[in-house]
Formats: sequence, C-alpha cells, structure tokens
Amino acid sequence: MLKYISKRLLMLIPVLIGVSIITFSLIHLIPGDPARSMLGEKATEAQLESLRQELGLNDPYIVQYGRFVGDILQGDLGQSIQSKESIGYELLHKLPATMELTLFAMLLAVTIGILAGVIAAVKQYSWFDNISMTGALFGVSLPIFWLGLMMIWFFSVKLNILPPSGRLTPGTEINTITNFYLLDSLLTGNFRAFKDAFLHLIMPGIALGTIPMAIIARMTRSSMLEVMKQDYIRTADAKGLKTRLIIFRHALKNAFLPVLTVIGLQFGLLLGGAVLTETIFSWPGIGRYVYLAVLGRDYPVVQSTILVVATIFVLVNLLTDLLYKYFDPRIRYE
Amino acid sequence: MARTPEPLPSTGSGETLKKSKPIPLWYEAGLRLIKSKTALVGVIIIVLLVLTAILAPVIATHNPTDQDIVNRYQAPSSAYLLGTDELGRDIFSRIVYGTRISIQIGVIAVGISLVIGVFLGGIAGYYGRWIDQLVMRFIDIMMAFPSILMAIALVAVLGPSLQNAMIAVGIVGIPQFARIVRSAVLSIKENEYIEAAKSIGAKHGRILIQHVLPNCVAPIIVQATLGVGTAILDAAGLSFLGLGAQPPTPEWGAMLSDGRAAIQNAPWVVAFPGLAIFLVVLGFNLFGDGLRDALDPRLKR
Repeated sequence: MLKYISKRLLMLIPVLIGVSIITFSLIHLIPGDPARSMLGEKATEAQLESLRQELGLNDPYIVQYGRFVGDILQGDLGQSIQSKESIGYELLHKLPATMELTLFAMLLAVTIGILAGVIAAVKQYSWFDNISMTGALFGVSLPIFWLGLMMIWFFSVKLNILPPSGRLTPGTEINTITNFYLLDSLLTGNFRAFKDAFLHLIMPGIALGTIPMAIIARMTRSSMLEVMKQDYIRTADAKGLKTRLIIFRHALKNAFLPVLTVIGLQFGLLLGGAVLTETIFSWPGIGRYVYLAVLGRDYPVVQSTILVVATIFVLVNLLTDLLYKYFDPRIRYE
Repeated sequence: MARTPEPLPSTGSGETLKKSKPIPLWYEAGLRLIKSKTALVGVIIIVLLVLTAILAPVIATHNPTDQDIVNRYQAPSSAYLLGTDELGRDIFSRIVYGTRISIQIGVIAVGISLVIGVFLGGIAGYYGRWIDQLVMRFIDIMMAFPSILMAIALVAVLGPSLQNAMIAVGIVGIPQFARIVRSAVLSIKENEYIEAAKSIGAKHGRILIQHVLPNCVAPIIVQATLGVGTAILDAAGLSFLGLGAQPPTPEWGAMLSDGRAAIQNAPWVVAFPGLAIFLVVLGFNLFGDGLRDALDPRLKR
C-alpha cells in the first residue's frame, strides 16, 4: 500500500506542473497589455511600468514561470492588486468558510442521495422510486443560482425564517479558533452562535448540495440495482438474513464503490459551484473572493485561487482513488 | 421468394444476411426512443424551444429591448404575461427572444467541445503510444480544474462577453468528448474491417475518418445532447455573474442577475427566466438520457 501511495504521489507531479503552466499562462492570454487591463484606462505610463516591474512582466516567459513556481514552492502566492494583502494569507482566512459550506453541502448530498438511491433501488418502480428519480432528474437540471434566489425569496422574504446572507447575524459574538463557525461555537460552548451559524448554512448548503445529491442518488440506485442481481445477495436472502442486513451489509457495501468515485468528482463541482452560491448568499469564502477578483481584474488573485482549488481537487481525487483501493479488496496495490 | 443479393460473402457459419442495409441499430434505437415517455417529454421541450426561437417575432407580445420606465416592475397580467423588469421591458418577450441565444450558446459551445474533443480523442485512441500519452495527460490536466471555475478564469482574461462565455464553456467541455471518443475508437480499431481497410492500403487518416469515427457517432450524439444542457446551464451561470451576455441582450442568466436586486418586491423578474433555463436544460437531459438508453445495445430485449 505504501509503495502504491508513493507511486501515486509521484504521478501527481506532472499533473501539478501542467496545472501550474495553465494557471501561469492565464495572465498571458489577456488580449493587449495585462498591466493596462488591471489598472484601467486612466493609469499613467509610470504606474503601468511599476506594476509590470512588480509582476515581472518584462522578463522572458521562462524566467517569469520559474519565478512563479519558485514563489509557490516557498508558499508565496503573490500579492492582491486591490487589497495589497498577501493572497496566501487572504485565502487561508477564506478557505474555512468555503470548506464549511462545501462539507455541509456534501453531507446533505451524501446522506440524502445515498438513502434515496438505496430505497429507490430496493423498491424499484414504486412511487418512491418514481418521485425520487424524477426529483433527481430535476435536480441536475436546476440552475443553482436560481434555486438560491428563489429560496431567499421564499424563506427570507416571504416567511422570514432563514437569514438571506452571510455566515452570522451581525452582532453575534464568536471566538474564532479554526474559522469553521459551527466547530468554533461548539468548542467554546457558544450555542447561540452555533444556532445562528447553522441557520445561515441551510440555504447555501441546499443550493450547493442539490446537484451532487441528484447525481449521487442516481448513481447509488443504478449501482444498487446491479449488485442486487448478484448471486451472493440471493444466497444471503436464502440463508434467511434480514432484508435490512442484506441491503446495508451486503449490497450497499459493494454498491458503494462507484458512488465513491462520483462523490470525489462532485467535490470539484462543489468547489466551482461555490463561486455562484457564495455570490448569491454573500458567503465570505474563496468563491466570492475569486468572483470579486474577476470583477476587479485582480489577476494574481484569480491565478492563485484557481491554482489552490485545482490542487485541492487533484488531492481529493487521489484520496478517492486510495479509498477505492482500500474498499475494494479485488484491486491490488501495484 | 426472391432473395436480395448479399453484399458480403458468407461467413461460412451457415447463416445468411437477410438485409442489405446495415441500419438496424438506428431503427431499433428509434423505436425504443419513442417508447420512452421521459425521452418524449425531452423531445417535446426541444421542439418547442426551436419553434419558439424561429417564431419569436410572432410569439413575442412586445419588443424585447423596448424600455418603458413608467411600467417598470409590473406584476404578470394580460398586458404583460410574465410582468416587466426594472426598465419596464416585457419579460415574456425577452424570454421568447432568449431562446435564440440559448440555442446559439448550446450549438456553438458544444460545437467547439465536439470538434476539438473528437479530434483529440480520435488521434489518441487511433494512434496510441506517445500521442495517446500526450493527449490524455493534457486532458487529465484540464480535468484538474473544476469546469465552472476554469470557464470563469477564461472569461476573466478574455473579457466578459457572450462570445467569450461560449468559447470558455466550449473549452471546458473538451475533456468529456475526448475521453468518450478515445474509448470508442480503442474498441472499434480492433475490428476486422479496420484490418481489412489497412490491408488494402488505406491511409491512416482515411481509415480514421471514414471507418472509425462514423462508428463512434452514437456516444458522440449522446454526449452532445447532454452537453447542450450543461453548456446552457454554465453559460447562464457566467452571464448571471456578469461575465457572459451583456445588457440589453435578453439572455436568461443575465435577466436573472438584473432582477436580483428587486427580488423582494418583484420576484417574477427572477422566477421566470430561471424557470426557462431549468425547462430547457431538463429537456436536453431527458432526451440525452433517453438516447443513451436507446442506443445502448446491452438494453436490447
């Protein structure tokens, strides 16, 4: 297993080099002068030259790329043009908000998705199967930004039961330790803040989790149907095992592998979908950060954020693969 | 009964070919497609979409870009079927004209993914070895970026416009096509008729284009149909963020974005364009799913 992990880690290197080349090239795809594009029409030639010096845009590409990679390897993700802050520092502060939202959305998607998929498969062609699979089909076709806005209209404007934006009601006190608000409020025994943070999570979590939930439900159902046809399920049934035991111990355990892959892939979709969700709910995470950077033409921020997200995504996929191997004894570590 | 002449020599197994035209896959697929209710709903939605786009000037009750500030934020009524927006424009008419933009986005974005994806997947699968390695590693790298994020980054550097949004959405769709075509080509190139074509001296390019790719059409069509839905959804997302269609274009995502500020008092400004996106995407998903099931020979009864 260790040998396999180290081999997989080595295979990451070319992918990450490719990712860095693409991210680096982004800034050079800008039509015309990147410095002018970032500072706007009113910038003087002196200001432009100073920015070019700062970003090293006058050097040959290969030198620029070398510096780009060198800086990243030293943990320096550059400086934001708008805020003048270190991008690494800003990302580190915004990442927990996005992770909290993403994990909550994933939790919703996985629990409801798998449960719906299992029931739909066990009771194939029942009313539950029909309704949940129609729901899943609707789910993958929903524009999440629309779903988000309609939820705000219904739950915040009409019923006034859920907060429309942000992570906490202004004025709510919280001692931040990890910047995961649910965790922080629990650790400090601040249940008022916990409830408030949780209420703020509901709508963005649903908006972000709907598509993966639909995809996971469909995948679980078809994977379960495949497994339920196997002989060992009939054997287990013939032995007189309880149906519930057969479903969860024997069938789901084996049907889970393809679902696991889908979960890993959906994680990337969530990180991308976070841009839309965070924009709608004014969620102060990296999705909104990159959106504001795009609007403000803060290209170093766009570059670094995308690099970080792609790296996270690649690592999550690697983790999924490793778990896959762990769960499936038929696959050997070679 | 007169027998039709056989186009192929007998295989020697004693069986004879009954028909001269090898079209049963499509024929059967068509039958299965008609039987599927969900696919039929998809077809109906798509046909309605296309008809609306063609007949837009007839169906629309107002000019989609005419402003009428006095009548801004009117609720749905007989004068304004779906209400009016912040500039007093008729939302129904804007949605009707928006069908043209959605079709344009779907066709152009998927066209870009399809042409480049089929080319890359085709040469990777057919030539194998280092070409395959090179192409597939490149595809791996592209897939390391969450697609919507990559599209946002591309539009950010190219500049916000509908055209650039279509290009960006097209580019992020390339990996799916490349992977599907590659795996189809890998299995097709092992067939005897490919060997036969090689043995009579056909050139690689000719074999690939005339013999291999036509047999990959089924998965390509399925991916293209599903891809149109995804492309419309992603492009609407970009427009919603202000990175796609620019005002006063009646693009659905942009309409949603414009109406956002008024959601408290005029929810229809947001509700209906979103519903339009949802219906169209649903239509392509239903049809695409139906096509995939219909074209899957394993599901033959």
